[in-house]
Amino acid sequence: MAIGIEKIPVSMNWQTATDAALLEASCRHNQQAFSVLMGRYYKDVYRVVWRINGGHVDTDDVTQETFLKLWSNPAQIREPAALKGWLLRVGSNLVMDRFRQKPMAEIEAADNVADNALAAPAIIDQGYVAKTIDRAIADLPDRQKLALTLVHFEQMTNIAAASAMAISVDALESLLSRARRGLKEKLGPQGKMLLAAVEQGQ
Amino acid sequence: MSDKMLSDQELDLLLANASQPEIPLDFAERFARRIAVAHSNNVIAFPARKAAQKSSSLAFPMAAALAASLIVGIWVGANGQLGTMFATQTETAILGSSNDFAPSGIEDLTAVAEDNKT
Repeated sequence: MAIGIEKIPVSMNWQTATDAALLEASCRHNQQAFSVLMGRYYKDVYRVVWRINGGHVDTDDVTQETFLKLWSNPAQIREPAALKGWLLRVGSNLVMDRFRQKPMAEIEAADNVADNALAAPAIIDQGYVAKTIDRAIADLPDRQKLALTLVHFEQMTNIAAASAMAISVDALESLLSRARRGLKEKLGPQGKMLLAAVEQGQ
Repeated sequence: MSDKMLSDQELDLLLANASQPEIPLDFAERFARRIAVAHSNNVIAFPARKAAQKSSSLAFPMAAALAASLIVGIWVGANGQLGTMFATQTETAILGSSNDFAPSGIEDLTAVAEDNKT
């Protein structure tokens, strides 16, 4: 094997270790430590990648690729406290690069992507509301979508989200503002109907 | 803003109803398999170097024959013997002035026939 895997004592408990300790062990290619690290963050990365690529089937592959980049060189993380932000940034960049390279026809042909031609049913149910909102989010520009995802869906603070996107807080707020305005315009008067359906269902 | 457009609070309420992904539980196992494959791809197998081949038993006789032909060539050239193999200028001139005629094509044959008539 080209990379040596570190053998560790069985009694070693990585579950309680800090990110810094896990990263340090990962630098020595300790698989158990890396596995714990991955367990802490893979759901966050998966959710963000899923949201950015509109639920495409490549989500799992992109998430794995993100962790593969970390595994290949954990020493590139200078600040262990910024690990989550680094993972989210790498994951979102990977998905944006991948979708930029692929023709749109292929993306739209994927099963999981929201249908662009959703016809309004006679009775608006929860599924239709969710799909319409998903489609409106998917239509946003990538950077706006990422800002909205980090702040609204991942509940990150503006400072943390700006750090993850490697931009200033002002730039993040601008992206958020444009994303929300864009969503309102896309949903238009239909938004009120969807809202009524949501309130009726509650 | 128009009354038909959503307010910030209403938009937040709608966003709370967006779909959520189903996160696979076996992600770690599949990732472990992937890094195992990545590691195996990093190993490049180099083929064993072939042993240097022994020189053929015909090498010396071939070299000797080539050397001998070279020596003969130099000897022939140095003694002026090569000139005897070609016709001299006088012989060439005599051959050129010969009256011997050998027809070489259909035009020559018709010319011979006309000569015979006259």
